[in-house]
Amino acid sequence: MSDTHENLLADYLTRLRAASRELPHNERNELRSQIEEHLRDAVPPHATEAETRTALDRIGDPQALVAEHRDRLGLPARCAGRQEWAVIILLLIGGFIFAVGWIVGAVMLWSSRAWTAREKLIGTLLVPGGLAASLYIGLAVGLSGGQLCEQSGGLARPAVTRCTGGASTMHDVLVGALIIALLLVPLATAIFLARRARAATA
Amino acid sequence: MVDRSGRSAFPQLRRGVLEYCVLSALRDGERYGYELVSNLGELLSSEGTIYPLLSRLRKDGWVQTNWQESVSGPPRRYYSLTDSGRAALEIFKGEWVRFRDAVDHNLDTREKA
Repeated sequence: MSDTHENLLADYLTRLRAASRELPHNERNELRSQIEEHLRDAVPPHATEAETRTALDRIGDPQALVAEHRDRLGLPARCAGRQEWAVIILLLIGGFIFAVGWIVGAVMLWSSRAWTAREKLIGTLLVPGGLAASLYIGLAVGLSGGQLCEQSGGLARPAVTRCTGGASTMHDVLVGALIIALLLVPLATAIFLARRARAATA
Repeated sequence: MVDRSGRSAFPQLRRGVLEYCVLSALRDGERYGYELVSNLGELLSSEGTIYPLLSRLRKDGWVQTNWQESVSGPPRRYYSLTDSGRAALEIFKGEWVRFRDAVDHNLDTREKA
């Protein structure tokens, strides 16, 4: 068994794994195990590189297999249902409803089958609270005048408060950029989730 | 078998009848995936396309699976016909004869005209 032979098989299975990520959990596992079983039969342990390549060509491209699977089992391609849209909207602006909306969105996100665990993690962490949290952080930083204050002194000396920054233009620019970034991240996450959502049907 | 526009009827025809050919390949007993692939030959556009179809047939209750130990390597998934799968195959056989005769008749009359 040559290295090339092993690498070709591993590469094919990696591509299949990537392509099948958009299938519901059970479908994905079934398709992968069927193909793995087929490969054990189609590619003998001492196959040459040419034999391995031929077998892989004959089995077909992973993307095409996944498309065929969706087609045969009547799974619509990457389209979100009503629940998925509700999740995206709640995560984005649900935070404005006393933060409860966002929490409901997060719970629905994790109970949905339309996203993988990694996608759910991104949806939750960028940004917790959604636009409401971004706006709140942005306003807090903005209203503080961008001042970084440091209090020194203690019992022996009168307390002195030293502030840096404040009116500096550089600082205003940074605060502005921070606010824009904070608002863009939840928007980008919403778009990401909408694009990655797939049919929730089992 | 490809006309001037590069179009061929074969893939479409194949797609319509493939599931019944799979049922037919199972009529004499259970088979594992790779055996079925070898039986179906040109009826498969690529070998892997049989697996989504088998999943579909299993969901429809026409085919069932069971695992069996294999002499070489891990256990294998065997596919076999259910009663409703066998019934579906019988119905298709009748329909196929009707369809084939109608097409043959149509092609023959056109040629004579």
